[in-house]
Amino acid sequence: MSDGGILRKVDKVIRKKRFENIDVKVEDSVVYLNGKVSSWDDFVEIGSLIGAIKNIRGVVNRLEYPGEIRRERKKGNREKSGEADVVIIGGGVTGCSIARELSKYKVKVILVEKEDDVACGATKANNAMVHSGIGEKVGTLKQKLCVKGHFMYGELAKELNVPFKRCGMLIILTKDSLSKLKIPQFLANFIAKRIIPFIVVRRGKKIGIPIKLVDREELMEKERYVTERALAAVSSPSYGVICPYFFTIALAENATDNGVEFMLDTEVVDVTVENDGVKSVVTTKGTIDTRFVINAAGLYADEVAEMAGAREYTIHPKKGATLLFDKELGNYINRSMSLLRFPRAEHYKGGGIMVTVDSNIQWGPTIAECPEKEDTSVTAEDIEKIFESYTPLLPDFPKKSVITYFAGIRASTFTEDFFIEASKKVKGFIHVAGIQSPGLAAAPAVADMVVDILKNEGLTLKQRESFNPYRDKTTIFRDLDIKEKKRLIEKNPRYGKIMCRCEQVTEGEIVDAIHSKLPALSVDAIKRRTRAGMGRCQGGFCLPHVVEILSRETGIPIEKIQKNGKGSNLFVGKAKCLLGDKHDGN
Amino acid sequence: MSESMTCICCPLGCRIHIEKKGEKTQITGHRCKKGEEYALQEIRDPRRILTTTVPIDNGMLCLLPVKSNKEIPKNLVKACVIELSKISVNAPIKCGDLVCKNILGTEVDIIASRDMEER
Amino acid sequence: MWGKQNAYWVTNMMETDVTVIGGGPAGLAAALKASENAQVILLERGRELGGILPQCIHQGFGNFVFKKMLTGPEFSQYFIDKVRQSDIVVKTETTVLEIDKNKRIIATNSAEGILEIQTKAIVLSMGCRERTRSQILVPGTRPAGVYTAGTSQRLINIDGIMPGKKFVILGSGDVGLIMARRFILEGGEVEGVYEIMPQPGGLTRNIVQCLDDYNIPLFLSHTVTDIVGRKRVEGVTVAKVDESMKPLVGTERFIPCDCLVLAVGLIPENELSKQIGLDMDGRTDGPVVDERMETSVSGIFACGNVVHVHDLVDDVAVVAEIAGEHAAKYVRENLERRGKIRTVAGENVGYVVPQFLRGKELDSVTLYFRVLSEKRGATVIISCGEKTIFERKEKIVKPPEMVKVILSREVLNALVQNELRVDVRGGK
Repeated sequence: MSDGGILRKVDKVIRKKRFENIDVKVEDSVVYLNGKVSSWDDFVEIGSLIGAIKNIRGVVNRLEYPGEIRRERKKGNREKSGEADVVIIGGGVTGCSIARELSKYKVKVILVEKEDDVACGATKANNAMVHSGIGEKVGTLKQKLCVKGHFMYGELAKELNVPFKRCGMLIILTKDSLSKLKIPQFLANFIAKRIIPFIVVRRGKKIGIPIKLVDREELMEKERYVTERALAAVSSPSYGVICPYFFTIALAENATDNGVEFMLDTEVVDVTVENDGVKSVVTTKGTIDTRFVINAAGLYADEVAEMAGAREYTIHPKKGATLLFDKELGNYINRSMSLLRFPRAEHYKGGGIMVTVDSNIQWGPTIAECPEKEDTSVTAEDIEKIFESYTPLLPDFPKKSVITYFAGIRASTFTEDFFIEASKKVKGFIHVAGIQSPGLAAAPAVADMVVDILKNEGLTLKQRESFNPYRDKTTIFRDLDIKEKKRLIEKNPRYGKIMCRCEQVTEGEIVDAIHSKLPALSVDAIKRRTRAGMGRCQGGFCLPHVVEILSRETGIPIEKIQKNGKGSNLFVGKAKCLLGDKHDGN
Repeated sequence: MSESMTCICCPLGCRIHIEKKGEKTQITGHRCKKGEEYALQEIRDPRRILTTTVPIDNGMLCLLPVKSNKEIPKNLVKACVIELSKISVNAPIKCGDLVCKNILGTEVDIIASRDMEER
Repeated sequence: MWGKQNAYWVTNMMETDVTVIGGGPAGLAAALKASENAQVILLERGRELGGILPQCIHQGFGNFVFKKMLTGPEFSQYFIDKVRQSDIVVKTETTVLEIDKNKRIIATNSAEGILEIQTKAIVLSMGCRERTRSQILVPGTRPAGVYTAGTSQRLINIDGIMPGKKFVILGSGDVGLIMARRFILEGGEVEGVYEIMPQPGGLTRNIVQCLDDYNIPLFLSHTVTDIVGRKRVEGVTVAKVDESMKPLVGTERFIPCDCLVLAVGLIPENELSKQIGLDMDGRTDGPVVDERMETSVSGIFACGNVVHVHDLVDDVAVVAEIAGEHAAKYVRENLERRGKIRTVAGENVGYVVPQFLRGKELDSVTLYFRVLSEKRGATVIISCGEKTIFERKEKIVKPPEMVKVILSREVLNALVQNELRVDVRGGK
């Protein structure tokens, strides 16, 4: 469709909804909105309505609304600090997958990440599912990359020595699956039992993934706690589960091993352009000259694109909250499961009940538009909503064994699909934006695709013979048998000292994490690598020990130890520091 | 002048009211003799056992828990804690060892409340 | 400091009579008692013995056992000194990984590596842990500056670190009250203590001496409805709650602070008990025990907060001695198990410990129980079938204060039915 045609459709939408004072421009199938609306809700509504129009590549929504939070751009350091063939912005699973993929070639790659560790955004706060793609709209880029990517996990997990389980997913149909349709129950039951499962199977065939029918009897036998109201199910056996931050850290470590440079705690403040091509990336820690920039900045992808003058989309954050339950319930279900409802709520994305690779059951995530990119708070309503949504599947589940909850923010564009392509405006600027679910599953395929784009854009990529795809296995004490434990402690007595009792993490493992290839220098970074503090006491017992070890190993004074980077000091100073004039600490 | 307080002599936790009119003191709300005595003590000379820590050098831990060997006037508790934050002791220490004699002229001593071995 | 003893062990495979798991007050008292008649190994995961006591530097322990008020460190020092004089083998910084029903224990420490201990009897005394912010579903972000009261106590009193400057405390359990005073004495500010229940959770003495003395307000029927701050706590929102403990809209108040401390209850730490497969009591969250503190597996005993959360360490020491004594006895001659009598929590009673009576050797048996709601002038009635065997009028009963009833052997011997019912009737 021509830009003119798009403009007419957009105008129609705006008129129909009676929005005023909106200026529309269309360029290269990207819609640019300027003007004012009266609320954040309107901002989202209009963006989404336009985003849903066919053949639109992107929506840049610059509409102002009351209460808008304008972030001040930090002052960067314009002094040259280095150069690279490719700079990747963003150390989430997407950025790290790309980094690792590029490390197979003879190119200098620098990855910059604003937080103190990789995997700090949506990557650490999703529900850990490696989707098969059955839940995605057929024909979208995310569906294709999801199907391709999820098949790549088996080998990748082996190379990187990361626990991965192809646990399968049950999509369950119950007497309530069609309740929104308001049709007679016998009809609803019939459709749920005899029609929908076959539609799902056919869909699986079409996109190239295996789907199996599961009758009620088999379902109830294998999953004995599932609601009595279940009628049938389909299973998607290639669904997997992985620890997303552990996986991302492994990718980063392997990439480091193969020559990629990681600059953490480094925020990008500008991308300079010369002769319509990328010239350099300005960060808080210096300026990196480069011809290629990969924008994997997640929630900030639109802002980074803006810096380069290459903005073709707006990110509208969507929050997802998840509840995590005690390991002792790990055997309550055998496979991940979700309840199929028809019709689906708008933009409703998966969600369900699943068991992590560490045997914790997770419920969620929810989905809600969220004006603030960093608002990872979980509200009472979120918690209530999760219980409400999933209790119908497992009515007797002991809900009081919640050990924690968290929220991640999805970096969605208004077109609700991945936006992966070379910028048409700035040469060398590669968009890898709009990566929301199934971003984890798709990540390996996204990395492949980005490499192809770089080749097309003129980057010479020669294989590096010395590439080592394998990452050494980290020592995980609790997974060893007695004899192995014995041998391990003989070699290094620190593995004999349990620091986190809930997860049985030893001092040796904590020290390993601190001195790993991507050193863990905060309590949460240690937690993500070792699981110290992830158990039922949530760090109540191990925190003082972890802090002490971190201080001893790095020389950081105890009172300066942080939870997760700048501004997250755990303590205000030494004891007595608030008495009289004996102030230390900050 | 009037004052109210919660009696801590037993789990009942009676709310006691004290009314002072010149020389006369009227106490109400208590249910037993103990409560009356408690209230009188609390208005005349309220005292508390002080427990805190003092820095210790060369010990297994960096702080030594201490306590007052007798009750000290309530209004001096904070001052004593600040006073104690200025001193430090050396390991080894035995439980009951003197840490600070006659703190702030109260005629109360501060003593160690545990052993502390050398590092 | 106990590491020196470890060198005596040449091989890692050991045998002993009684192994005590956990060196807090319960474990210490049980080990000491058991060592009078048996060979004992005491395993402690912490650096030193005493469990939580060394960080409880305040006074208020030992009134019952020692007839004087001691601080936590003093109380534990007494037991530690005794243990040192005994021939108990102590292993600190040693964590038990597994126990099976045949009483084979696998543990680990740095000095010796993996230890395998074949023991004839076991006393479980792992204590409890604190309920966290998540377990009570406090909404909000997850910044630095949210601590449980016990953790903050350890940080201040043992590690010498100040966790915050301006505190809000959620929960009026004793540790929370004690910490409110501690924060003040360390130079911090305490904005207030918020309790979701209409009554305080801690002892009156602590409310008076920890809050009133320092003008710290206590807000009953209040809770925290939001934690604000991305990297570090910037404040919390508190609100009044209705009778069903739901926050009341319109009563929210934002309080700037940099630290939220939670004193919202303790949970017996029974991972090992569950792993062995002991029968558990859903109301206490601890293993089911008889009056000798023997669990559902013969030869495995449990005592202290692992069985149910006590309010006084003195009570812990008393039951721990019973556990230790009978563990040693079990090693020698096995224990009699006859005429099992079940205890039942009746009107206004949350739980009763022990859950079973099945021996004849104790001269008297103490029943420990908690009421569900506060009553003045209620009557404790213990009955067996139609027959009332014990009756006592109480000035006041309240959930935070455990009720104890001692039944004599004479009374117990006269029981004809196998159910003992505890009711707390009447009162207002």
